[in-house]
Amino acid sequence: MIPELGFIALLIALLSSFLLTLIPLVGMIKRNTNLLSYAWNFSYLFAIFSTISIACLAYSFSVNDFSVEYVAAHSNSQLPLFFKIAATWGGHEGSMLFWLFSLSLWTAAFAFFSRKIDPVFSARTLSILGFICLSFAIFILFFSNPFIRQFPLPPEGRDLNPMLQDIGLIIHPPLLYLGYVGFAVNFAMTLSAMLGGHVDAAIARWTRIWVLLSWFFLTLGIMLGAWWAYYELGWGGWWFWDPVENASLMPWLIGLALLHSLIVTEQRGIFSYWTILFSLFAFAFSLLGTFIVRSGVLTSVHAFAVDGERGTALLLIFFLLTALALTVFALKVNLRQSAVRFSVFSKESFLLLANVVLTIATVSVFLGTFYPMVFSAMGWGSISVGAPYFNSIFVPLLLIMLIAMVFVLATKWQKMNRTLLRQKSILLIPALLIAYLIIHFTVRQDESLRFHFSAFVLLSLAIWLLLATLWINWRKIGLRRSGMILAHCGVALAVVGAVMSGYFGSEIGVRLASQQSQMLNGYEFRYIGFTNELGPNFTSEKAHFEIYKNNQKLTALYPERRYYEVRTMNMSEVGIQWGVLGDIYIVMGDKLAPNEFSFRLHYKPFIRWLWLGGILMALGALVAAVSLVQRKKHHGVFIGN
Amino acid sequence: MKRKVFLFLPLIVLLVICIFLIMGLKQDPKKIASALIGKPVPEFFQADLLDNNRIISNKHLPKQPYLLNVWGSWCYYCQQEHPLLMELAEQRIPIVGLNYRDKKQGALEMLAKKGNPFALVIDDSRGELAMKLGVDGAPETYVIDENGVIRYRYSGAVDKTILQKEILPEFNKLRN
Repeated sequence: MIPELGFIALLIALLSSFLLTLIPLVGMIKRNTNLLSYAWNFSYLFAIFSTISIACLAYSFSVNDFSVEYVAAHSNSQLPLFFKIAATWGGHEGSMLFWLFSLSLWTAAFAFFSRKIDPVFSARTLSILGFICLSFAIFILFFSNPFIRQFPLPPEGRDLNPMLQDIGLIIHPPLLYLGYVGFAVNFAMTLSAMLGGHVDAAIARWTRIWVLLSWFFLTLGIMLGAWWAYYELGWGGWWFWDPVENASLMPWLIGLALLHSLIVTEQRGIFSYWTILFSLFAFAFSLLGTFIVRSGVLTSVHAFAVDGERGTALLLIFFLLTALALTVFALKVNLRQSAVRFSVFSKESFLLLANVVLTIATVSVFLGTFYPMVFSAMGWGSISVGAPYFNSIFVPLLLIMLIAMVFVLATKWQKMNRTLLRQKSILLIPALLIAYLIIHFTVRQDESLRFHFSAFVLLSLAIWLLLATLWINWRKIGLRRSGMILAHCGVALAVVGAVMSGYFGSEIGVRLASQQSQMLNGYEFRYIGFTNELGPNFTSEKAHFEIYKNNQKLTALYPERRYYEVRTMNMSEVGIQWGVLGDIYIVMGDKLAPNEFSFRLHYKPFIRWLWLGGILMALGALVAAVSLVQRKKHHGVFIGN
Repeated sequence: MKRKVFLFLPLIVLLVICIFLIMGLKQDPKKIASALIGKPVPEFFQADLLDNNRIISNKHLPKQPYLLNVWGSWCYYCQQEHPLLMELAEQRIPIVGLNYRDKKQGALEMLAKKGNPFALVIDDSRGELAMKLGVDGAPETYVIDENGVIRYRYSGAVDKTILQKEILPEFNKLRN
């Protein structure tokens, strides 16, 4: 009965999203405020029933109800309960239901916090959110229903993809989805503002907190994904410019641009066109990302559902929502051009530069992701656009970005500040020195490494940014500014991590029999032997390594190769020794002889800084969001226009 | 007036993008299903399921177009598609079975009970050849030409429609 209950809850959710779209709309046309106020009730109703629906699916997983096709395809009675619950969003149907569920949470949250702002504006926003909910509810019902039963009852399920059997899976997709879906709120708010004919500082202020929160989730989700790729998948890397990765990077970049553009719109009343388009495109790219991941239109290392019908339906949703928004933009937007003047050397210009750079970055990722598809659609053969393309574009953009970030700190609104500028510029000298020393000492460890000029430049700029951000009057900063400081330090640290691990990582593939050893980066990797182990739903071969430096034993590592019997898949579990200055990383490969395996040994300098940087960026956004809430409490800004 | 046209620009860009996306969707996603398509079956030396003392290698594979079916007695969907494989065998279409991560006894029992549609069954109890093939789960069916080059891959259970619409046309292309 439970799966049917979930299905009925989904139907009720669909109905309430339909009413949420329709009733406020009728209220607006008929100028009936009573009807408008229903928007809030339907939002909560939608959230409640979406929650019930996904809870029913999770319950079916927990009791091994293999009569549900989706459960049978993604779970197994041997699977630990923890992963059974996570398997709820482990496949296409469930993850789309999770999409709907997070959308319902955002909608309900917006409904809850919008009681005090302009009711017409809020009701219209809720109605637009309702329309988005409705589209996805229809999609799930007709193309991706997770509650379909099957007969005869299979005795066992197919098991969850072992790649996904990890704590990373349990939190990575939900965080990403919360981020993706959150952009629906600012999309709806912007659209609502345009329809109302007012796009002004007040709207910018209301929108910002939602953007900050979405971006917070998206950043954490992406970072976690990168970390997961690094430590679970055993590829030794954290970013591959894979279409699925790019799918989340595009809304992230646009969201970042939107955050900065919003500040300028709020403070100075300019850049409104940028802000509106960023706001619309942040969500458009989220939809596009869902389409990329779920339609099979692009080849990816991530194996997801390949289904043309679903792809067409998702494309239709993407097209409907985006075309609607851009048509409204073309017809309704009519901004008073503010006569705000600012000099070339001012905060405004550098933030404008940031807008331009982030736009170029997003468009480049977009082109790189879709060019292979266009290429083969035109019948020109097949090509792949890989890391070289993206790196050659992102290195110069990153350079410009880092410089712009320092100059934003060194300038004021409208004009430049000579003392500040001089003070910040001087910091470049220690930065160059520190960068040189870091690279010098890293390169000295391993003779295969060479000094790299572009790495040196990037590293110097990152350290310059770090110093310039931290060189401030610490007594004068409020919560909001500390959010900015955290986030910008995060960028600097992440760049240090990415540059160092990207340019100066060393790796080697070896064949080792027991008691043999191999040197890498000053470390001796001694392979002791292996044991066979039994896990809850897998068997594994576990190697034992001891790591020595200068004949001193540092640690022991245990990389594994697992065989998941039900799914009949091999997975490797890497052995990692974390370190502030670098990670030692071992991946176990094929068995070549009775006690002999192939291994990949890695040394990844400063990789930890990358994760730390990502966490700081997300934290910065969170602190900024909290400061906005506090400011509202103090000043009571929630008064309409 | 010029400004108005400028405002429509994002919409126009969107339309162009959507046209390309539709073109992208129309491509056959199965074409990109395996990196091994167009490449020969990887080299292997493995036991014959029916006679464990005999070692099968690439040179024992049929010298005419054939199907390669990845199966296991533990796999529910493999049992579902089994009658269809029996029908194919009756039509004299050679099928090579890859018994994938199975217990030998269970596999032999299933063949004894339901019939053996395979011209040859490779014992892949540790999934070694399957790994090289890039199998991501059973069942899976490959169409292979007379030179041992993989031409097509279908992941999942084969039913009548898929057989008629996808697999047989691919197979018949090779026979002519």
